[in-house]
Amino acid sequence: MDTKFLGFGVGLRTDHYQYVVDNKPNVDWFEVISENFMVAGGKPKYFLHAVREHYPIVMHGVSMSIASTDPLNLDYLAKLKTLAEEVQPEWVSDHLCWTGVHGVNSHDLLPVPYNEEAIAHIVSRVQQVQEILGREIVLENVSSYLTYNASEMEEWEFINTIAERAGCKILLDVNNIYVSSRNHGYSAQTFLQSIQPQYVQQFHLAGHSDYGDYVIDTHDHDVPPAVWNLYQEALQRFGLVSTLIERDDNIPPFPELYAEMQKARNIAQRTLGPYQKTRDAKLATLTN
Amino acid sequence: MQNLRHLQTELIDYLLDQSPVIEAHIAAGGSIDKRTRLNIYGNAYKSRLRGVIDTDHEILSYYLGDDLFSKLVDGYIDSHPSTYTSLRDFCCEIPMYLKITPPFRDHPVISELARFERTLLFAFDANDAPLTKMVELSSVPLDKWPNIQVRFHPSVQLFETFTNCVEVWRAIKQKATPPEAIDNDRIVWIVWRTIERITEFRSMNISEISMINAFLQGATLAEVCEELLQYHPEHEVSEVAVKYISQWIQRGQVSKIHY
Ligand SMILES: [Fe+2]
Repeated sequence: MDTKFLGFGVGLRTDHYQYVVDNKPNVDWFEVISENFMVAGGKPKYFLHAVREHYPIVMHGVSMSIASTDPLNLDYLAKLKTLAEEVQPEWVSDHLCWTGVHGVNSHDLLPVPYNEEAIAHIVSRVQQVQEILGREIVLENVSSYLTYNASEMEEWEFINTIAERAGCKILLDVNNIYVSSRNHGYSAQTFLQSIQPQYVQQFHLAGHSDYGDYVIDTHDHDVPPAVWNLYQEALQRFGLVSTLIERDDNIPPFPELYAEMQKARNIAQRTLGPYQKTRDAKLATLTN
Repeated sequence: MQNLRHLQTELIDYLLDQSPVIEAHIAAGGSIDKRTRLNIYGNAYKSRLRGVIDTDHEILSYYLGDDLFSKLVDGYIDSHPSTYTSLRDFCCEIPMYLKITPPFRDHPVISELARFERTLLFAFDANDAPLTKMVELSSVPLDKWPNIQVRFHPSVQLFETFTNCVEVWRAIKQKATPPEAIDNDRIVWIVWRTIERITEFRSMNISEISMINAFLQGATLAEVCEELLQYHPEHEVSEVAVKYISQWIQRGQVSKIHY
């Protein structure tokens, strides 16, 4: 998979289906939550196809549970594969985390210890998933609120190693980097500067809730200044990367999300100059 | 993988039962203590599931009011940890939970309201299928009419109840005061998704119910007419049958007229 630059997109949410189909906003691409469309038919499927007719789509899932020590959920993967055949997405992503064990699903993105044992386990599972789906997958760094004594390395080393050994890509959530850096007291800049550019496939931008002593990844606010600043640094390091505005709660009217997407576009143009939809040249200069 | 499995087991045990064993494996330090860190996960777990119940059972939540709804949420989350891949299925045991658990079980309308909401959800995203037009019925050759079988759209479901839960649902939906809960004679509602992808429902009379049940079990029109003799004089039977089939087609409930 190349690191194709799709431009600037918005996460497609139920509240906006009708608006998007009626108004065809000038958005380069949409990201959809895969699970929302693992239903037989009706409205969700109708709108998915109506949006797909006009836009490139990326499928983003929350149920792969790639780091779980339960067996891989083959039924889920089969459904994911069927959906991907139907939608023909640019790529398929999920999170570098686990969601449950012993058959119980927390429906949350739970953290892993950053050590060799977890790396070996995850790498073999990523390879199996890629084999099943017949494509490379993209994994997102999650926000976390605790670290384990069993961790032997920093999160960025952990992520780089998995991408390198498993041959998968990274969805860098800039907000999650910020949230985790505050919760664990490390430098978000160090995180960014340590991630290897050749693995980065996509960015997420989102908002959070700041409680002073800690920050929670609520995805229910505008992207705050600290995350915009970090985004600019990310552009400087990684060049043009497909960028997505992600909002999961307290969903505003679509034009508000569109305005945030425009802001990302403007920042990218200010930071990197006018762009074309290829980042290969930029990437080459970065990695040489 | 053994150590990883232990950690995962302990964190899940914390989420389900507040078991503190995991604490010993969490790194100390930073601006918040271990318990606060775990609490963030504990709260997120509960509030996500609460949100799902609230979304899937909006009308029930309103009907119960804050206190009883919280009682449902706490009791259900404790007794039914999710084993589902999709949150869409998390609430599927709620009608049964309400039917057997005090204090809810003393008011059958509560469980029935939940069951009705799940029926609507099912119709909302049931499989797509083509819809039959009237011309397909009228073009059936006369000698084939006795063989006609009606295939319903996959969203069509029958909802049988002995309460006035549907009236309660409708009142709350229209932001009106719900009627007092009462026990009824049996009422059967047909629930389906229209061509505009709107979920609709209406109640049926006894002859329509028997007719639809017969067709659902694969009966032919000749057999259905036989059945209708219980409710209508012989000379009216075929007219009644055609009237119902035509209405089903016009409402977008029929996928195929098979003969
Ligand atoms: Fe994200």
